[in-house]
Amino acid sequence: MRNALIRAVWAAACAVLVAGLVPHSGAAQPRRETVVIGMAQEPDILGPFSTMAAAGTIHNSLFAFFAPFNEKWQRVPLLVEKLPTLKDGDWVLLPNNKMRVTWKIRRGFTWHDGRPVTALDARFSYGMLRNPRTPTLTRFILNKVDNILVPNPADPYTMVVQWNERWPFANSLPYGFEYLLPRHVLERQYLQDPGRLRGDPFFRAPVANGPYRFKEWVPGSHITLEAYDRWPGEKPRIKTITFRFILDAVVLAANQMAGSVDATEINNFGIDQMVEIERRNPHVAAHYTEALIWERIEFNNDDEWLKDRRVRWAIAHAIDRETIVRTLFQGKQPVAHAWLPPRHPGSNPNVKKYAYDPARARALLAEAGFTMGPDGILRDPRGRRFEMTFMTTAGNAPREQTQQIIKEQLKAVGIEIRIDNRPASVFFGTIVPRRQFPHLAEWATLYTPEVMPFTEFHSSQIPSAANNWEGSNRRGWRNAEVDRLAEQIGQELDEARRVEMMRRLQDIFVEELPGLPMYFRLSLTTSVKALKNVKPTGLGSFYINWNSHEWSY
Amino acid sequence: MQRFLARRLVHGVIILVGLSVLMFTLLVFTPGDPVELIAASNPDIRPEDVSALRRYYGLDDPVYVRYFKWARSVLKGDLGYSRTYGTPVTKIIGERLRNTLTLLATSVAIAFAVGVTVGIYSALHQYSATDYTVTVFAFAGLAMPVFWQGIVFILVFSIWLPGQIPWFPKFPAGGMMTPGVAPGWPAFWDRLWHLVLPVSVLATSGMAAWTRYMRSSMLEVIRQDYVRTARAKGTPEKSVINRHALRNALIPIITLMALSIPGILNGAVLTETVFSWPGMGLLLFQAVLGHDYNVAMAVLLFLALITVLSNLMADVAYAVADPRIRYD
Amino acid sequence: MAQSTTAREFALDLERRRREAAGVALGQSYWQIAWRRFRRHRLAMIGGTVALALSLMALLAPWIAPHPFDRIDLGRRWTPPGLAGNFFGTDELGRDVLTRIMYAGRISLVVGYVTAVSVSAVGSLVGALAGFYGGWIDSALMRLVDMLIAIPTLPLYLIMSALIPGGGVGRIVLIFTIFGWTTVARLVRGQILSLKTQDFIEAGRAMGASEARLILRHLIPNALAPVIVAATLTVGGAILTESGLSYLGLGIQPPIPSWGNMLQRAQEYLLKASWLAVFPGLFIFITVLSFNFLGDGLRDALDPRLKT
Repeated sequence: MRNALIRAVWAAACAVLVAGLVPHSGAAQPRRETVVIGMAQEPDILGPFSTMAAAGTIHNSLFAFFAPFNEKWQRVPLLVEKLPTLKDGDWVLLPNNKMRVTWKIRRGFTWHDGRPVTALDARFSYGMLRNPRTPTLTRFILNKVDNILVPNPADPYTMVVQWNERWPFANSLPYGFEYLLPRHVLERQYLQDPGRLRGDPFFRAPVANGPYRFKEWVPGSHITLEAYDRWPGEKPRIKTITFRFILDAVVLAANQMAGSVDATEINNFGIDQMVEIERRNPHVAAHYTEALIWERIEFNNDDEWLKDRRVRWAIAHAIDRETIVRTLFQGKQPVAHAWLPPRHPGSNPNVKKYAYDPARARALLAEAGFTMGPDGILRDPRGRRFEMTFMTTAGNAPREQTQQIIKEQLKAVGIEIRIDNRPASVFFGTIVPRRQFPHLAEWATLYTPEVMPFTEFHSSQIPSAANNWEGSNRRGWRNAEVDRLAEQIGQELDEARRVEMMRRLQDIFVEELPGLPMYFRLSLTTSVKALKNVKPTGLGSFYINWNSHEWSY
Repeated sequence: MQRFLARRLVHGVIILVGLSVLMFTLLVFTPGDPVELIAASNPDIRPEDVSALRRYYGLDDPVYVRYFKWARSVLKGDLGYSRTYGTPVTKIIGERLRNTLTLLATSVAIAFAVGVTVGIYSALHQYSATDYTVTVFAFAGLAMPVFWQGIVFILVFSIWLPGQIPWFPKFPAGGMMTPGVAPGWPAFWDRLWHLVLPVSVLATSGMAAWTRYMRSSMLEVIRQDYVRTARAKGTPEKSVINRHALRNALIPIITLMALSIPGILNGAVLTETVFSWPGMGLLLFQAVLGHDYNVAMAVLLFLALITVLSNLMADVAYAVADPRIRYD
Repeated sequence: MAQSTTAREFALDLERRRREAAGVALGQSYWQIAWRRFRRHRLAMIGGTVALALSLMALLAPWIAPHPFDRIDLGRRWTPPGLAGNFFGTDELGRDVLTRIMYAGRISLVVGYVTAVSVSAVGSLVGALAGFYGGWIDSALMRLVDMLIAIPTLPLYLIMSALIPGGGVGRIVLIFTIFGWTTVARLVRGQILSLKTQDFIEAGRAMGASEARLILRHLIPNALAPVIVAATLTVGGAILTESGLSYLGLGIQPPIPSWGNMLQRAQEYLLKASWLAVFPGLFIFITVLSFNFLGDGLRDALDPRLKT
């Protein structure tokens, strides 16, 4: 009995060893019509209730977007015939700040079960997403829309969106979402119980309308999509796209080096890893794409020391951002002088620049009343040591390395830094939204080209218990002119005037310096060079595969 | 014996209930619930969105209400829905269980077979050069950080060696299968091929541990009187070892097998994370971090149940195998 | 915790021994004999020496480290190991790896030692209470033990490290202690149960000694031997587990260096600067190995049955 058992065990062990000698069949077969995209994240579910970027990536191939951003950051109509404009009269301003926008869905698009895509799907999607019983992430824009009508039953491709307030981007998306959902698949479950809609099998295997249709989801391993034969545009040349989930960034990089994946997205790579991948595997292109990710150090403007803008200026002069960027990111991620990168139209190239100048920093601090203590650390006018807490997300290598360098550089001008990092869940869960950082905190915000400054810069948007922690003005900055600009920008429909006001706002921001811009992060992706037409946008909802139907080998 | 079993069963139930209360409380009090995290990453999310989402996911009830809700549905046989995946928990666990069992069974079998064999050999040749070598290697196996070994294996066997030696087979750097591989035999070989690295990592510490256990258990047994008697009677050495010593030396190993299950799973969490192996360990890790209470509770209680049951079985096996043990 | 493999092996020994009702009173000569036996155990002697050397290195780090702690030198980034200034090379900020290893050793070894002490203290106390009083106290405590050993500890550590704020030594030790005391408690309880029936306790009781006095003065010292061994093995186990937690991002948090988080951080640079990972890994390995050898030797030495 025992011997039999041991023999069986040995047999199993030998089988594994034998298997080891069999050449790997997977690598040998031609992959010219398939693309494997490695990601360091697996989606929770698919569809609009997902909370994860990984789902967004898959949506890019799975759904036909109304008007995706291209690599030039311009919206290109895809599912709709055109973007409405005031000039053409399909965007109409009404009294009381109301608006009416007319959209036409392009004919010929079908759901992956063959049914046509119509404006009725859009109306259903809007109502369903806006219903407070469904777990929609944000109804910020949805709530500005009063209703969606499909006025002519004979023409189910035309819809009229009624807005109950002004919104400059009412002609970008019908109701703030990039794509729509099939009414005929979801309506019954929705009417039965909107609260349980999220559990519908649809969200594990969506019937979508994009160039690729859902094929399989092996949890923990991969999701496979295949080309949809009734896609109205040019037939996709890549026949299958597989998204593989490899959660450890080091292992994901190893896979790209070994050639077991053709591209990576949501990969958590650092700049060093990107360089290393390119060096180890010359067939791989590393894409460093300009993005809208603003990395900065926020000052707590309610702090007694940091209230004084001379102190904030001194800190800016004491930190050598150029060197930090050069050493940690091989110079690839540019220093930020304001909060919008050069590629954004609202960016202001003429803002004041704070050069690395420790002498100037010392002078400013002396002017603010600080005197040098015997231990090389400054004392404030009341004799207290100038020691500040610097918080950020624990476990984030570039941030922790930046902190180390900053700590040394500030020490050189007499400021002691105490580092207190928290896990991302705690840092973003309570520290940042509740303003629990006493002095400095570093994090990033991902903007879209359609960013509005209101929630981040208006003084009514300083989170407090009184306003139920509303708003993103976590630095606690109050400036009357900025308040006025932020309000006007949100109402201004003329882009040129909006841009002008955005630039003015940045001038004030940089002059007052309520927070210190550090650098603009790049969007880092990789793909094999043999894969043609890969054009990463660097934008939040538009991932490397946003144009996967145009890819080919 | 029956009374003993009944008592152990009652103990088992107490343990499971106590654990469920403990785990639930700990999980619920972990700061940073998923809704807050979502809100932090999206500047458009307003406080009213946050409270709507919290209501939707049932995060507003007091802890004990949530516990009793959960417990009632579990007793009715409903483990609930995964908040993250929006699927019934049973379905998710079913998928992952098979993967973990594949990984664990293979590595435990290899570790056990090798460990026991080497342990016996080492015990029978105590203080020999081989014994010393085995001891040092066993200790080394226990002193290696699992995740570290995994990453080094990937870099060496998937990138470095295949890059240096042209004919060297390229081992997959993580994952359980090649997507799109033909079903049937190609799929089977493909999976086996993907098993090699994670199994060797997970088996290393197991092998080392079993070697140590078996060696000490065997040493203990061969000093016993009945072995000496058997030898004195002139029983052939092979028979002494196989019949008398080995059987008795394996008895305590049974108990250890049961006790080591939670420890093996610790290793599995790390190994599955390094190799992106879609198993229970990885699922548990993600569920805990993602505040997916239903999944985390189900996995933890399932593991506890296995441990409790296997302890019970070990007790029974012990009682049957070793008549010297009596229970009051 | 990882030490449980070896500790369990040791528990196995004791269970068996208890059944045989070993009856050796501990006295002066016992420790002398043990020392003599220990000295003959070659691997244990090596292990002990190495452990001592490592502890000294950590203790004296501020005096013997070749560079000031965490001195950043952006001009000397990625210096490979060599004889010129940086024996173990430098890291991505130009910090000297050897210096960091020494300072990280202070943290890692403190985690190991303090965990060992607190685990032994809590475990001995609980075990002694359970063993001495028996009855419902014993049942309740033993159910608690059963509960804690029935689930894998790593997920518990994950939950606890999210629950307890801070990223320092205190938090890790606290977490390790909350879930790590069970092995020692079982050992001590077992010892106490067998010792309780022996003559000298009966005698003490007859002479009217108080219960606290009996526990403190007689029972615990007698149960000390297995606790010492378990504590030794815990040192290595705690260091190993901390590194695992660090890999998952939940161990000691930088900028406080530990071997675990150095190793974790080095992963990203494995192909570019392998020395960043080799040295912390090596130090973890050697430390755990030497404490395990030491524990093994102590077990052999303190085991009364093997007395020659």
